[in-house]
Amino acid sequence: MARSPEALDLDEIAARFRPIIGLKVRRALGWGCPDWEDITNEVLAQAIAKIRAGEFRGDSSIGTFIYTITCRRVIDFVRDKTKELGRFHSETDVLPVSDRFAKEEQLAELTAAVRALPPKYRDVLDLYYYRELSREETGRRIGLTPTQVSDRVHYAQKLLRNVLRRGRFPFLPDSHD
Amino acid sequence: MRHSEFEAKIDDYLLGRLGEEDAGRFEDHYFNCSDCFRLTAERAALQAAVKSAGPALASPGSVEEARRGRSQPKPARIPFRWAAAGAMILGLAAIVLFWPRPGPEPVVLTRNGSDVVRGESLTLVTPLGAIPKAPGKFAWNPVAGAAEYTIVVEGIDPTWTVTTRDLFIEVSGENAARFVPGKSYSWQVKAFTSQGIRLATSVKTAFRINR
Repeated sequence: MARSPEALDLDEIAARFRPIIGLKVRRALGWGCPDWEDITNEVLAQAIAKIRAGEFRGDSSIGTFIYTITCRRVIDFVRDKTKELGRFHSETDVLPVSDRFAKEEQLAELTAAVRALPPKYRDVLDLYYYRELSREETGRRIGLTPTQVSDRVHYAQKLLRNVLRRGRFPFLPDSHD
Repeated sequence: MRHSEFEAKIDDYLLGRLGEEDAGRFEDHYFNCSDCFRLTAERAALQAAVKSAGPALASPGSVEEARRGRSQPKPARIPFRWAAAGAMILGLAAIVLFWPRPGPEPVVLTRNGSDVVRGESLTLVTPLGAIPKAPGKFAWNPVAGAAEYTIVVEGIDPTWTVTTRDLFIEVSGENAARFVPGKSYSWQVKAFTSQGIRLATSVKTAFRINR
């Protein structure tokens, strides 16, 4: 659903897309890459400059427009810093721990909430996220179907939703509903 | 992409199991859908918390208990004298097997109680690069202290994940038929200790079967 460029509120765009771009950039460069915030800001600045210059004509949605800019910036970054990126390659599927992630106490609060979950959820989370087994393998080990594994992860997320939304992680939207 | 289709792919996306094209479609969707982005971001935070919680997250013995299965039949009763003889033999075997003997120093695995320190690097042996036919086996070099390896092969649908204690997996004829000539695949191996602590992750490596 494309909106006409004139109808766009640039402040709203910046607020809405900052966390979205941040997630995409961190996912692409590795969760431990320290440059993600700079790149996110660069993408936002570039997107807003392009909108102001009339380069966004509303042919696609604003989301797709900003997504395209983000992808190009990530590719440029990888090209420019291949050497430094080498150390992130093996980390691309590893989620961060400790202070790289966000304010430590927020992560600690969420971690404590995860530890306090009933054992049936913790067992699934341990195999599926900590050991990174597939849904099928996780289910096989604890006597569940792959769908039941997904359901438990989904329900654990639901149980933790209040803590998640209080935590304001860097890629969560600022608005809390 | 529908919401339900999107939701089913969140974990595969965050764990790097989606192909390039699928990941692109997934990302384009969350750039345009606030609800789906929120779900993805929450799931990423949950994954980070699980990583941070460390290997002690699972309830003690839970996986082994479950693995033994609920439907396993009750063992038959054994006469006392046979049970006593069996226990004695087992006791002797345990003494022989577990008697302390000099061995390599244990690997230091954690820092600050939760931060996992990786072990040595894990290198893949075969298949690599262009190969003439579907691979007969996947092999890698050992990692000191590893008790178990998980192999993920991407490019085939569904993604193939196998856990083994060996340094290779054989590809059966049925599985070999899933590899198509001319197509690229990638694979990766992760090494774990017997407590489930990840020691090392190989670089994701591609191979292609020649036409």
